[in-house]
Amino acid sequence: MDDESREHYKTKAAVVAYVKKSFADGAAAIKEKGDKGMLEMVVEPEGGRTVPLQDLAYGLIEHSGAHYGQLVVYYRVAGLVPPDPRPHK
Amino acid sequence: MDRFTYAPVSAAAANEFRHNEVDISIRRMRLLLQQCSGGHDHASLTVATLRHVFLDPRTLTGMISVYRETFDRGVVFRCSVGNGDLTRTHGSSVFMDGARPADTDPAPVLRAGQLQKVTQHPQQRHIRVGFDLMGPAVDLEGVLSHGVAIDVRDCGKVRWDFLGSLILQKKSLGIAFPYRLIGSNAQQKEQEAVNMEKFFVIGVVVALVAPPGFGQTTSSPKQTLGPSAALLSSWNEIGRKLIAMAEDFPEDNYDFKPTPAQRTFAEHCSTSRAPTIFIRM
Repeated sequence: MDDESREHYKTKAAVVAYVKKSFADGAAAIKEKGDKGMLEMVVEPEGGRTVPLQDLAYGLIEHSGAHYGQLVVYYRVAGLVPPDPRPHK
Repeated sequence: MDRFTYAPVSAAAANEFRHNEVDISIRRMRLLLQQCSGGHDHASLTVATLRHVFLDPRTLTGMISVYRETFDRGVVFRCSVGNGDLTRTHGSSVFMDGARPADTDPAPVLRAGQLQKVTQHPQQRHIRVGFDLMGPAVDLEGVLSHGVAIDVRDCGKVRWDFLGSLILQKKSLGIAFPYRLIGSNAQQKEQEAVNMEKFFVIGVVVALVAPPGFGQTTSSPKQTLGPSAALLSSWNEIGRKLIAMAEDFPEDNYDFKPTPAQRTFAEHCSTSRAPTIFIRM
């Protein structure tokens, strides 16, 4: 699959750079597609359904949200507070 | 005079009877009907005729019918003189100046449909009712009896509430005035008058202290995002959260996982495949 192995991103900096680049590239792709591109029909990589591109994109956002939720649990279990809920100074 | 004015008024009564509705009574003689359809303007015609002869029809208070019907519906004798109490289908004639035709048939000037027509085309000035603090021009079942009248040109919104009241909003004041169209008895009307007075006082206060534009619907254009812009906003938001976590989480704990079967923190970050999948579309 497309999972990037931990072996390729051994350091925190590498992981952070990967995440940043991934979302930056995604944002650039969205801008490039534009409003018309959002209606293009694409085939889901895993499900195989043909859906509008924006539907796939929102599904991926939701997927990222699932990861975010799990990482929140990791924070709490580790006795830490995630960045967002922290009181802003 | 009676014969001339009597004839059209009788016709008005007949028309109104056919229309079978009584909605609004005319209290004062300031109602000028123009281009008005239907037979609702006969009462005012009567008033206009009377005005040429007498100063005010109200001065006919007490006039008793001898050979003909009296035109006056004065407030002095509410229920007896001149058959004034038979002006409408129900209720008294205290505030019915100008509304009563010669006969005892109902003599409404406006009815629901006509009001709607007026309010839908106020520029045609079907009805011109002046804003006269010396005395109301239109009295709807006595509700509007506090020196307030609606100029059709000043009607911002007109609607019916669920209780059957006509709500007219004066654009100049930003106040909505309820007009009870059908009253049942004097007590109800008195209560309505009291309520209306309270409402009017509040409205005047609001009108005086409210900032400009108060009560007016502001139609500021909504900022709507296109599909791609909306998607981009959501995309950046979840990205921001994940990046913040990746930057914030202690590197020593990057291989932390709550249970052995789960991914580590770093694997979660690196397996957030959403961006990579989307990029390849």
